[in-house]
Amino acid sequence: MKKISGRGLIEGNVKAEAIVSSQPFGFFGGVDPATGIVIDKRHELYGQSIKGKVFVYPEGRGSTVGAAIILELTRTGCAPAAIVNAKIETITAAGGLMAKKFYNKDIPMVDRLTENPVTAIKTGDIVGVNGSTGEVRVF
Amino acid sequence: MYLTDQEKAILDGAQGKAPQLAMEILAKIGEINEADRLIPISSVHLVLHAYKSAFDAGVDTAEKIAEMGGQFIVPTTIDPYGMDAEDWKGARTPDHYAAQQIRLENAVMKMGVVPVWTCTPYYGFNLPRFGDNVAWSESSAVAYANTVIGARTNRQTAIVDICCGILGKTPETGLHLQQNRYGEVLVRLKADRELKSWEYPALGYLLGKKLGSRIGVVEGMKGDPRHEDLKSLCAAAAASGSVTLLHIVGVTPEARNLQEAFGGNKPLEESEVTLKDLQDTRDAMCTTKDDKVDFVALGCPHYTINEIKQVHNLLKGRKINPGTSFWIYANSYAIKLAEKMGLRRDLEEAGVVIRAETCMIISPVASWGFKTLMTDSGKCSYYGPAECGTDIIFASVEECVEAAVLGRLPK
Repeated sequence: MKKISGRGLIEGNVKAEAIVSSQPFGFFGGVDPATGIVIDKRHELYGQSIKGKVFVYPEGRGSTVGAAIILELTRTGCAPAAIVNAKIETITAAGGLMAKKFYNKDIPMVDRLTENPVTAIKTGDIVGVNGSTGEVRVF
Repeated sequence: MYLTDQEKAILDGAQGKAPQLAMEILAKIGEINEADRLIPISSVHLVLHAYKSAFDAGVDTAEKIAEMGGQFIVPTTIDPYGMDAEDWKGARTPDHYAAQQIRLENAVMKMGVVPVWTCTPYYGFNLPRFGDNVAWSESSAVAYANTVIGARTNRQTAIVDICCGILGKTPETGLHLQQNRYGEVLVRLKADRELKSWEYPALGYLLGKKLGSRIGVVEGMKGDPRHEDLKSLCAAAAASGSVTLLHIVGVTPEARNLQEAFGGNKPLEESEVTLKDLQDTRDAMCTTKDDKVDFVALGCPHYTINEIKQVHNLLKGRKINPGTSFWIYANSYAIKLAEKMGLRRDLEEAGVVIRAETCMIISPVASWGFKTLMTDSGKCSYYGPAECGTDIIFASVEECVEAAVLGRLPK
């Protein structure tokens, strides 16, 4: 097991399978909130599901309505288990904050890891994310 | 983050539940962004506006905050309505969708929103001054406010923007601070002439891809772009990347020269854009080689009265092909002017449909079964495939009008 330390942004502690992309990601037009499947045809994860996964990508991009999409993913039970970014965007962090406030659901979020998360973590790895301490464990 | 005694009291519930919730959220957002304090803002522009992007969770949350007594204390405008505001039945809006849209409308109206229902609040309803701090969400309007007006806003997001409106404040981070507004990347535009209208959104689209969230400085733009050109450039850049602020040397107010745009710093990266790059970007924005066009959609961001008049001029009294739907999206202000000027009547007689206060991206169009959407919008080209379920042809407005008359691309 490898431990990587980062900055804890949104609290919660989960362990799940990782899905990793080296491309920035926007939730609006990026994912179907009824299923958690990526619908952006230009994105390398097109057709894959982020539901229940530790979603690892460099940074957010695109529409500012993204926080509402994360909230709807939470309501439908299709949200990622956790989000690990190189650099978080407020839109993404706000989605995690709202999920806790309005649906009492933890989607821990961590950024600024001591290693580049996109290369340190591989799709399919089992990853633990602690959103309070910022610690990411790769099993 | 430092909170004043009054802000601490709000956090303890002294002003009721909604301000308390808003303060909890802004304090946390401020902490994540390492803000020192909250600062006053002169306006807010919301993106929790359409059922298509708010979904049930957004509607429920807006209602919860309204029921908690949330009231906007600074002028707060809102993005386009989630369906044709004049004729949602004629636009084939599903009943459940319409009912949810009306619930969302009632919730934001209860909080005191100014119902402009437009992505271009800066054309008439909500115009900040140079240097004003505002809290806007709509990504194209954020890029326009920072770039073209020199107002200061970060990309706020759904619900956080509601919190800003309730408190009249936002965390002092990012583009609210002068030291974060200088250019990072130099882009030399190699063009020996003024750009054509379609080249502005193509340039925006390319810049979004190049820059991501970094601040670009564009040097070498010739001539004097129209407001509408800068609107379409900003919208495309904010869609294909996370562009919040561009400096266009000699055009935008914080870039009277290269030195000012970079604040004396050296560019982290330099690159060139040629006219051929813009043509290549245009080709890449199109997802089909098919020449049949069954849907032409203009007005992303909302068409201004000038753009509506231009379509009227280009049609020259000709009729739209019966096999093609030609829709223009505009806000109530431009539509009212188009009525006063007799343009709407003429356009409708020619077969053009004016869709009020909404747009192709955030209203349901799937039931029309369109195959190919042709548009002059870089932003619509980006979101169209996922949100409209169509192929995209990006082209100039002149070509859009010709295609709508012919029902296919001109040879």
